[in-house]
Amino acid sequence: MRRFLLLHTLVLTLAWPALPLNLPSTTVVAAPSVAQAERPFQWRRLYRTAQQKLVRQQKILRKKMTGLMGKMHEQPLGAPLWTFMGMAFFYGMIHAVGPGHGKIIIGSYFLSRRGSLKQSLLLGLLFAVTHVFTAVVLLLIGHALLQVSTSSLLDQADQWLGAFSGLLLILIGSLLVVRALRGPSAHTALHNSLNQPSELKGLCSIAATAGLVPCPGAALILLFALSQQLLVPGLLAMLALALGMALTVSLSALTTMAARGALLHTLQSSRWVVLAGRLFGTVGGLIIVTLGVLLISSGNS
Amino acid sequence: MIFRHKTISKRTRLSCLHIAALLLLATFTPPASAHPHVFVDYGITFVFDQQGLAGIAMEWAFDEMFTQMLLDEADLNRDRDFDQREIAGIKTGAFDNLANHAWFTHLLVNGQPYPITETTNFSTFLKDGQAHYSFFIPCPVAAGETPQKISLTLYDPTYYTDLSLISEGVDYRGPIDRYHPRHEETLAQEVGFTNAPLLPDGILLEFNVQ
Repeated sequence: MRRFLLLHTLVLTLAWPALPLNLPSTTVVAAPSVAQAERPFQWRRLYRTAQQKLVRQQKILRKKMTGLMGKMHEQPLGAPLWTFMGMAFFYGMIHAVGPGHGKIIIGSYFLSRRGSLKQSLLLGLLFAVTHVFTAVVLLLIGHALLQVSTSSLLDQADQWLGAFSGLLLILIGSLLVVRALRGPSAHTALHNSLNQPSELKGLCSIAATAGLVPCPGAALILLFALSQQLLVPGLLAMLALALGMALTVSLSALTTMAARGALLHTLQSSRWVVLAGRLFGTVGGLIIVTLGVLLISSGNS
Repeated sequence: MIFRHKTISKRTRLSCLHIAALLLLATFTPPASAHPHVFVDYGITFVFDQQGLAGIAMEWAFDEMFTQMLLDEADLNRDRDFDQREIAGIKTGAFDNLANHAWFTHLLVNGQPYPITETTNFSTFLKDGQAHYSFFIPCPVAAGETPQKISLTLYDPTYYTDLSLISEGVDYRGPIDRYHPRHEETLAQEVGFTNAPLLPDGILLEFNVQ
């Protein structure tokens, strides 16, 4: 029974991204059946309502941030600046809640390997700072040196950095898979609690690789700040935004670590623990490889 | 490691398993959609002619931050306005690309999907610091005695752009007295678009010859 439940959980987890919950689809059904329309699945409805609320909240925050920037000239170090910073932090937090490749890559990494609270915080911070500040650097270089418009620069960066990031992810994911499959023998693995600890080098490379694609949301806020001649508040807001994102991503990483720990906790037999450890390693690596392929293909489409 | 492997009760194990399932499901949300970066508020006008519905006139208002990006890209003379040359540039450089996404517009005519392949009368302008697109989607549907039903929603499947109907944003134009048009503003899922992501606005229009 326990094994069946475990299998069921894993299948659900793996199938989740493939469920037609939020996937792009141009397919529409014919005439709505009233009964069908009035009684959608409750879990699906709940998920959609929660996501919709987050989207609305981001819209409100963006609107308020725009208004606050207009007031900053009158009170450069006053309440508008601090409120703006707080909003940027909150915006970063909820912006990162939405579906995105970063959380999944980092989640997959911690699915494949053992991690700690410190590592999850470090990984979240590193990812968010890279994701936000790639956009900042590109935008500033584009404006100051190249006189190129932000959108075309972001488009090009998306294509090239996306492809580069995708290639690196395929490489890292493949390494994780190979390590998980070849891994230590069952005997040694058991002594290592079957879970290879995440190394600092690996953490840095996965965070930097996942965050390499610039964040358009950050670019839009900074661009607006620049148009209002508010470079310093704009850059401070980028820092607040990155910290907000980092918090969410770290929490997501912690969630995966907790889930992984809980799943391994349910297994009694050491042989099963070894197998589960290897399975997590392989699945985590494969998800990263798949996302790498998706990043490359989306850049070329 | 957060959870150490030690002897625990069966009940605890099952609880752990359930918690793990929930946490994993929460973390691994579908990766196919992105979070929104562009916010659009739209209004629509159903345009009627002598045969019935001629099409739908749209007006989209972009958020101030995306407007700045559009100005950065297209306002070549930096006068914070769009002249004819700049409008043409926006059309070819941005608007026409939306054809690949059917301008994010999804239509059902009497329950059947209506493919949107063209738009006309495109223009763009600035109003209260926001860039606006206005354009027309031809969708001729002849009126009869039987009510014709048009379902409409706007959404970006990749969710890069969030589109919302402005409050009381539905209007009519043309000889409407002949067709007695009436509409309901609700959710896309409730007017036939069950695969729409999240909960976009949906409109159900009905009209018939009186």
